[in-house]
Amino acid sequence: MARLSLRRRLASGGEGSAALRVWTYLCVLTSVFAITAHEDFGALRYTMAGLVTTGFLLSWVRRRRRNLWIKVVLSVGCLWAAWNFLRALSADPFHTSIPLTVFLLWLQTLHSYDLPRRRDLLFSLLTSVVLMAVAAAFSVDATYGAFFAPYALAACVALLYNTADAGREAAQPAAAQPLTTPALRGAEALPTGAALLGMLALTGGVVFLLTPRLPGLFITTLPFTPTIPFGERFSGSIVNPAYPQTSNGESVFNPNGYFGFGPSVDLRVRGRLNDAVVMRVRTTERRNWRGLVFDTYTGTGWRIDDHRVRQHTSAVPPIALVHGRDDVYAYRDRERRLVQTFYIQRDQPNVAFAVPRVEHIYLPGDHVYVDRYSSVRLPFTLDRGMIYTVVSRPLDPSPLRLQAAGAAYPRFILERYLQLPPSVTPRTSALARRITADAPTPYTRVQAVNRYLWGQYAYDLSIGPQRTRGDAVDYFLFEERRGYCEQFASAMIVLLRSVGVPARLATGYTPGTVHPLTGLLEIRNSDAHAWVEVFFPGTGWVEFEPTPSFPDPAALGGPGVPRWGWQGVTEYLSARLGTVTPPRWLMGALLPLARAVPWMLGAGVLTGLLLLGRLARRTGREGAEAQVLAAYRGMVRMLARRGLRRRIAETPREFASRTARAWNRPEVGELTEIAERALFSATGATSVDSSLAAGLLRKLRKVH
Amino acid sequence: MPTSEGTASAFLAGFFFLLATNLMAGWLFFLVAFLVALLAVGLASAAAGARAVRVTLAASKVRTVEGGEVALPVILEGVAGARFLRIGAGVGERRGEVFVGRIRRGQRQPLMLRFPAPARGAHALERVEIISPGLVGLFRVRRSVPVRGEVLVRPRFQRLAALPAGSGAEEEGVPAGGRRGEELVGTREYLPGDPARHIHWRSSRRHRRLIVKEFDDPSTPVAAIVIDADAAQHREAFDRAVRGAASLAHTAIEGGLDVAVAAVDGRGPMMTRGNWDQIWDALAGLRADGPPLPEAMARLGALLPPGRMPLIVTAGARGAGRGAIVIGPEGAETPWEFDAEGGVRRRWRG
Repeated sequence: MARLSLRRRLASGGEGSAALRVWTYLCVLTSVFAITAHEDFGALRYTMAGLVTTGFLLSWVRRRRRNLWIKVVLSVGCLWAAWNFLRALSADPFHTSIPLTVFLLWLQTLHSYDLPRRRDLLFSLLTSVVLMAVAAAFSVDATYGAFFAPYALAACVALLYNTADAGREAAQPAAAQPLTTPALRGAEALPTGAALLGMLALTGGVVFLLTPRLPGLFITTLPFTPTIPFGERFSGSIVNPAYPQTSNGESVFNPNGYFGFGPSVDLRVRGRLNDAVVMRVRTTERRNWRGLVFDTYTGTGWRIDDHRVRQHTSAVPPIALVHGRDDVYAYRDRERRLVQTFYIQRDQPNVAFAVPRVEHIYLPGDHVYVDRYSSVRLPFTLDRGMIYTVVSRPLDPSPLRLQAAGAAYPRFILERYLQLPPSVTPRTSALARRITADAPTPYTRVQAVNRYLWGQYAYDLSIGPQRTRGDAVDYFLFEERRGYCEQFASAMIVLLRSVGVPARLATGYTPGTVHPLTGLLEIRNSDAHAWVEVFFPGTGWVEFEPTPSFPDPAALGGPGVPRWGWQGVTEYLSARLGTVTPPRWLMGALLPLARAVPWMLGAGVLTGLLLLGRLARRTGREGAEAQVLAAYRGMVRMLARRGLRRRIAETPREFASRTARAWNRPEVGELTEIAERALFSATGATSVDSSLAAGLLRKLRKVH
Repeated sequence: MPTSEGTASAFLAGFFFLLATNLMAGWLFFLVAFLVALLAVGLASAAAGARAVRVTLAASKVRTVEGGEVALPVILEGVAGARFLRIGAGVGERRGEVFVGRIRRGQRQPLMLRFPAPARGAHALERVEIISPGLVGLFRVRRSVPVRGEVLVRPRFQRLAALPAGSGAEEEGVPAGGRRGEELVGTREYLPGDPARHIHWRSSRRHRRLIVKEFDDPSTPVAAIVIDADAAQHREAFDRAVRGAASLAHTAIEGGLDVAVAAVDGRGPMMTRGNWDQIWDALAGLRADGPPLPEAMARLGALLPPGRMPLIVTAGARGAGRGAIVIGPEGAETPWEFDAEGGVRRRWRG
């Protein structure tokens, strides 16, 4: 008896639909886990899940009662949640997202205690979409997909049940169906939901690929990790967790971190960095993310000569920065602001990576240090999970302006940035003079050197250690003739300094690859890079890229995210596939398949066209039938105006023969015959029939 | 048309798009794509569902009684598979819908559409509506399928204790000796349904309209009931009069009398003789758009069975008519009166 009662409850629609409740509950639960997965919600995650479960159970049990006392308790609960939200807001007005999320979570949880009707369940489903959206906004990696897939399936099934229940509520069930038969059987709900999800995946995939990505980040409150209660750790010195300072000063290559993020760069260190994602960047433009600048070439590497820093403090975010001493032109001609938010995925040095020149920085702390090169040093290392945001004023000078810059360098620039050690060989200087012989201006000299390096040397990460002692640049230019980005950058700087053009080495990360789902630029260890900055009077320090196969900095500054979703997907796939070297046996198997791809595509298109044709024929047939019947109805109306009314029980043929006696027009009989064929023949009406019928009606109207 | 859920989804999709653009949050674009796909699939499945079935009426004429329920048999045939359809039809504001959870391609499903009966009369049923919410209920696509049917709402009636004297009730229901078969009693205007062999061609040519010969079966007493279908009266008053006439006719037939119901409405004079169903149908189809009672009586004069006083049921009569028993509404100055539910009783002796 109890089983029968339960079955009836499961089968019935409206407020009694247990299936709809179960699937809505799964949606809400998934959204709670999705939103709490990305922030440190701690025990709140499980508390909320437990409360939501209890709420849905209580709503089911008490769904037919008035529940006045529950409503009172829930109202008090909502006020309590709002009070907590406001209190958190007043305590820290710069971090509204977490209190707001907790507030939303509480509202959703409290609402689950009062779901008497189908409409309430539907509202719960809609608010779970909002929670999923908040979770999506928080998400910086692919784990959101693990929550979204089950959520989407549960939402599909819940919507199916909701549609079935709404239909049953609005209308009486079909006479042939017993009342206890559900409109959607439990056994078919999940497969139907999965099929629906498949359709949505296909359609949504196309929509996602065709959705435009417009420039954004017009927000005023920028994300960063809340203030961490730790004291001062580094007062301006640089610490690279991947390269702890050794007593003998020598470094051993570590594939987990770049050796260029320390006080010095040793050009003798060799190795290939791994592809682990070190940070993600949300921004509107793709640029090199500069970390440090080196001014002194030692013959075997680079070092920062001046470690004096200036401290910038602010009790409330952001911290406004003043440029370093060597950036003489400050923020002149830097009208545009560029916002970049960095999500740290692996421990990084205490350096704020950003597009130069940084104007404001939002980070967990009340002070930072800026050295004379305008590099930003932090009082703590960037640990995994940390977030900071930088507002920069990038510089994009035109070639004409650089051409006209001249050579009137400030004295202190020349003193510091023309430095060369005695190890630099005469043949290096001679090469520099030879390359720039026909270059009258500093800019043309820079271009000449740049072109020379791009054309004459190869980028190669597989080279071994330097085989001979001596100057590293000389070895690269005349012995090895291939190498890393550091070798290319060092060579360019030495060659430029040899001909009197001030230049320096910059290290950081390349723009990275946009992840099509997160919309964030993924920066990997292997994206660590070194490039050149050249000083131009009246303009300042301008980036140049000496290493072949890397994009010219002048070409950077494009949209951070491709305009269309499909561009993002193809770029990401090609970038990721480019790093994979498949085994030979796999290539052997894939090659014939690759050859077959055009044929498969052709077959797919042909099949699609055939299906479309069939659909069009079917639609056309139904359309033709409607047109024929419309023509026949037109004729009947016209005859009625002549006094020849068709009787209710009269067949078209009887009517036609009666009409023929009163008004002998062959068109009436012909049109009747076509209409009969359209209605009763197995083939139905064709497009020829519809045009014939229309023609006959036109003739009749003329004579009428 | 989007449902409230569809509107909410579209709003959320638009809002999330703005948010995704502003925050440059890729997963939000993904969610937007999901919502847009939901709307697209919802609309497509709703549109496909509405076109996925063929609807026909299983009976072109459905009869019911005032205050009752119309049960309209409909055949649903799946042209393609569809789910969650609502099939609706009705007359005026009175509508009925039936829910079909699933129909497969080629499947024929008989349905019964039920809705409260409209007012007495013959109502044309011109279309059946298919409402498809699709798979996810974000849109509601309606498709009207033209049909040709009729809902005939018959008047309510009551069994009366007695019929007015002089109406034929006092006569024996046994045929008198020596008179058998039909006798020609006169001619009258042609009425739909009259057999062609009864047409009096010579008179028809003379009157320039069809005239039929009228026969009478003198073996059975006839109670003639005339209903005043004056266009000047209110519809409700006329309906009450028709209920009274129905009660009289039914009681007379139950009493073994032959009943002739006559009236002149906008379509011309009509007289129906036959069994109860035929009389009831005729009463159902009567309209209050005829001439005033005196003119109607003049036109019906020749049609009425001779020698018996007709029962005139009128919503606006004053006093008794000569050579007729007039039955008026409650409070009228007539010897007999009818009430709203069709009850007929004697008011005063005239």
